[in-house]
Amino acid sequence: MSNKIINKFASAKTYIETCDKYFLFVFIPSIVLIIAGWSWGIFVAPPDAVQGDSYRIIYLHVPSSIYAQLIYWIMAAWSAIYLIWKVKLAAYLTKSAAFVGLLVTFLALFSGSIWGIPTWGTWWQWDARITSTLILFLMYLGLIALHDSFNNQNKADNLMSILTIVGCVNLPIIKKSVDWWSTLHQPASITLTDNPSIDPAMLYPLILCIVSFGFVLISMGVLVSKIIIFNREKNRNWVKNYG
Amino acid sequence: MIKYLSQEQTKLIYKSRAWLTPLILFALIMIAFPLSIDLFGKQTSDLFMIIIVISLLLTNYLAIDDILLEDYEDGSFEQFLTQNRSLFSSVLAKLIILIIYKALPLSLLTILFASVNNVDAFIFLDLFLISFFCQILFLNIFLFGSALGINKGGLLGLIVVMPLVFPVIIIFGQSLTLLQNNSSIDSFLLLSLGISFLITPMFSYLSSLILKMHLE
Amino acid sequence: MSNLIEVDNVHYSINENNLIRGISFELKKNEICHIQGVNGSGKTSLLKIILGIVEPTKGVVHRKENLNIQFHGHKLPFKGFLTLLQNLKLILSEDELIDAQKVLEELDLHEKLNLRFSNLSFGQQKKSFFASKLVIKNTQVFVLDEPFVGLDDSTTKFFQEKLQKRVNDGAAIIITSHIPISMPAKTINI
Repeated sequence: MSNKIINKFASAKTYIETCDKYFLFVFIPSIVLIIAGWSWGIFVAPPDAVQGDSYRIIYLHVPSSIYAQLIYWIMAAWSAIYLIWKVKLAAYLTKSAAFVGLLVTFLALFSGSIWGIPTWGTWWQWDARITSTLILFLMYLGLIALHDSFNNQNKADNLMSILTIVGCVNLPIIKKSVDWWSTLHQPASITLTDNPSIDPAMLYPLILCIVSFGFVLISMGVLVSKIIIFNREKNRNWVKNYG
Repeated sequence: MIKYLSQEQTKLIYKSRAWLTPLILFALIMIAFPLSIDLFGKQTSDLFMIIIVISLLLTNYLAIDDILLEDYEDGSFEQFLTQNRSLFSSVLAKLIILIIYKALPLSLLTILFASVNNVDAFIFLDLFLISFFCQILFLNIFLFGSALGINKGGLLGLIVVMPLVFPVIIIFGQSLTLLQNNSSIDSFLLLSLGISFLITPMFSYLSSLILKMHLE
Repeated sequence: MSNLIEVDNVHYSINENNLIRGISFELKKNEICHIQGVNGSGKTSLLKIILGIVEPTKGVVHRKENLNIQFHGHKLPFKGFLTLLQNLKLILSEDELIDAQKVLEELDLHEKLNLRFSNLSFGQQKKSFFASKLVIKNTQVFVLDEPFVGLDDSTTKFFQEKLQKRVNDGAAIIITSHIPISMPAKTINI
């Protein structure tokens, strides 16, 4: 009974209609905010005392690193919803989130490597947090590869959800195990509890970038999920009548 | 359960190729690696510690190879399902037989090659246990991987479970370093024992669940 | 429940493609069901649903409690690296093994018992597996998916006679076959 109610309100059709209605309210702010955040960070914020101008890549690096993990937790939540209530929409969203997560994790690694050249003198280091981000990247890649290798999509959804949850258990283990290595990475500059160890003039644009990145990722996720949903439900009547 | 175990044992014993391949590969790596370095300049015992986890990883990947694939392709699993045999029990039986017949000899080989490479004799027991538990974890993870990628070849499974393998490599690598520095690792071994007991039924169950999905 | 198997309005679809649309039938003792349909019409899927390996998208399959089903599909689950005898021992009890040897003798395969299964020809492999399925005791339902493919006429006749005997003794059969069967059967088209 409860399944029916959930499936009615969480149908792909309702989702697409809602997205169409509100998409611009997310998309336009995301563009405006990201431009504002980046131009503030690049042109207005003061240069760093030690690193000069090269630190400015944090306005790309920090947001992408934050969302790289966050997206995985969101995926795990959706997978749980899919496995418990069999809500198909949750499976579609898991898949779309995996693509976004892959992109963001790649951005985090890539921007980190660029930043590493002037600051550490090398673009790669087997440091704890870089390694765990690389493993996260492989996890996203594995999930997508697994899903794409099946002809029967329902089966693929099931397996992907199981694997996402197994990986979710694995994430803290990876973190603990790589922390065994002596780490080169600077400790987190912004925490919710302590006073930030970063100058407010650099911090405010960073916060703006983090927020705007969230908006960008949501609109990206919506676009990807639309492609996936139309592909998966192409034989349904509502898709044929759409637009 | 005993019936399942004896069946799997029969299958493995008569398939000598599958049984011998990982052992021979392991021996070959162990013989080949000292040849690739300057024997007199360096401590072979140090290098032995470096190479041991990776060679166990490779050989265990090879050992798991077609353990599930064969029964999947020739329809044995379908027969199990139609005859109300538990898929979980047969996967668990496969894993246990694999641990007894492949992981155990490999651990013994580890000790043999440790003595060849001038490793101190008093850490042999610890080394044996470490390599044994390490292999149990590897086998579990690769079993899970081969169940996931069973209809698309082993490589997909390997890619998918690689993130699970990395922490195992790191932790066991660290424990070997500790062992070399003569630190006590009893509590770590106890922990590994506990984890092995937990993870073996858990991953067998997960794998049997996945196999059932693949059969649909 | 007097029926061994009741298939009630079963639907099945893969990726939103409807494969099976509303099949219903029931199977009683001493009955043979011949499922017919063109290639790709979902015969094997239907059999898997009946066996309980696959869940139907809609509808239900009722099976009698503790129903003993034997399934013979396209795949031969005998191991190539074991001898025929070892393979038989893996799945048969002692009594059944004696019966199986008798059947194999009728098929002129008893000399091959100690050969590796992979060394037999395809027809011989198929025959020996089919024979081993036929002798399993207490079987109430045989589910056979194209069992006569690759067998010569006389062997097909031989197996049909054996199956008919089992049916007379109280078993039931669900069969798909493109090769016409001589046993009296009710036909289901999908």
